[in-house]
Amino acid sequence: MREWKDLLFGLAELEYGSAEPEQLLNRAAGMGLRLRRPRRVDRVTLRFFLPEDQLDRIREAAARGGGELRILSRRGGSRLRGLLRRRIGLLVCLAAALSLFWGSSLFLWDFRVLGCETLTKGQVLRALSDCGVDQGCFWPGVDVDLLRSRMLLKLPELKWMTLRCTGSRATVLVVERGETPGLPGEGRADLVAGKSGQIASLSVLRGREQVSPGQMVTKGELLVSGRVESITAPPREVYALGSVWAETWPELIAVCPAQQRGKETVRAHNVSFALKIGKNRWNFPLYTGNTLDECDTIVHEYKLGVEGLFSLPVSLIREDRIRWEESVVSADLRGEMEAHLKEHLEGRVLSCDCSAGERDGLLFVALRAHCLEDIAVTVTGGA
Amino acid sequence: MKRGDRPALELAERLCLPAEALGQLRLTLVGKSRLLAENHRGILDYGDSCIRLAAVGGSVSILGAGLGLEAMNRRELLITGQIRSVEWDG
Repeated sequence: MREWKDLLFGLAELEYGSAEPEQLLNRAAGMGLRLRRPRRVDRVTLRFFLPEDQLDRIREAAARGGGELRILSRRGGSRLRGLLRRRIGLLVCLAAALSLFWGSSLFLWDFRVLGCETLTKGQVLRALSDCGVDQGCFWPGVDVDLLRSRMLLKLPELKWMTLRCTGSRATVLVVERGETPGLPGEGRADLVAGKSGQIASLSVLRGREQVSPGQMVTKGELLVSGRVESITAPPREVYALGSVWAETWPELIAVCPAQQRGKETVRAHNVSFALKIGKNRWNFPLYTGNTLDECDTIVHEYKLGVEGLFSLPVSLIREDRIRWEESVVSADLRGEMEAHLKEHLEGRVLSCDCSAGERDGLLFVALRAHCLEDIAVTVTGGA
Repeated sequence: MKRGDRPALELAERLCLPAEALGQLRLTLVGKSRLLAENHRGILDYGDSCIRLAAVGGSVSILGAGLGLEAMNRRELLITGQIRSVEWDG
């Protein structure tokens, strides 16, 4: 702190020569002056530092002692002010940049959406925009409670949301309505086989099992009954719960044209740049303008700022246009069929076998899999 | 010590007053590196290895290496450096 004060107000290094230089220390102490780092150079010379504003008083003290006072050097203070006066343009630019930075931090230029599950980031941002919170919005004027109420009305999927502003970056945190876990229904329900297969294991939570491991079942066969009989009481009807794991052998067959048209990237591509300030965009002279039809455009946006701390409303946009041409490619259905099988399976694939054949320009693919899955399906009402 | 100092000191002792209340030099040594002198009467000699202070009834030499005056006012002064000894000269 003292160094900054010295830099601002100035500090001078002085040399005092006298028969008894120590007397200057006593006299300065008597006058309330505080000499900094005094050191003896020789028997008659003393060097020390002193704030510039106390120079007149130390001169007076030195004159009273009959010694000679000499200024060796000065730092900060008037010298610094003179230096800065010569660089007034630089200072003005610095002040303008700082003002711009401070001013821009009061407006939102960057949005981050967290917590989306079914909603997309675009949906949330569009709803925010409809509620008046958009790029360039003055965030101290945003009432988060009011915004939350409006957003919940606009997006019924939302349960809660909040907006947190850090500098010019807004973090939108959303919580979506989840499905409440269903309670077991009332009345009678049975579990029947949704697919044919061989029972591997049963886990019955409620109801009476009608099959045992190793048994083959066909689709629709009763697995767990909701009618529970007792030798001491009349039969009860319950909502059957449980899981029945069975080995199944599903088969998928697909047909498609043997030859398909697809994209093939050509090496030639061009790059163009644009500058975006706020909501305005300026394309650089080399910008090619309209995109070619047979081009993929990949847009990179580099925001000016410090990641996670603040961002300025200035961004550089780079667009890569990659040219492609149509070409004929052989169809490959196996991967797609496996993905389809896994997506619709409530279990896992143990093994998979695929065969393909081509006839009349059509490709026939058959996929046979060996799976382990839960085949129990709840049927209410009972048999 | 001045002629009038001894009775004054004795009176201070009888009244349970601290001697520094009568202007006696009080030295506080903190470790080997800091020495605070209260009620001094000025600096008589100033150097890296010896600083001599005037006090009531004589002078005190602070001997050491790299000695320096950290702060000083009319009543107190603070000396820093490697202090080896403090000697009463008079």
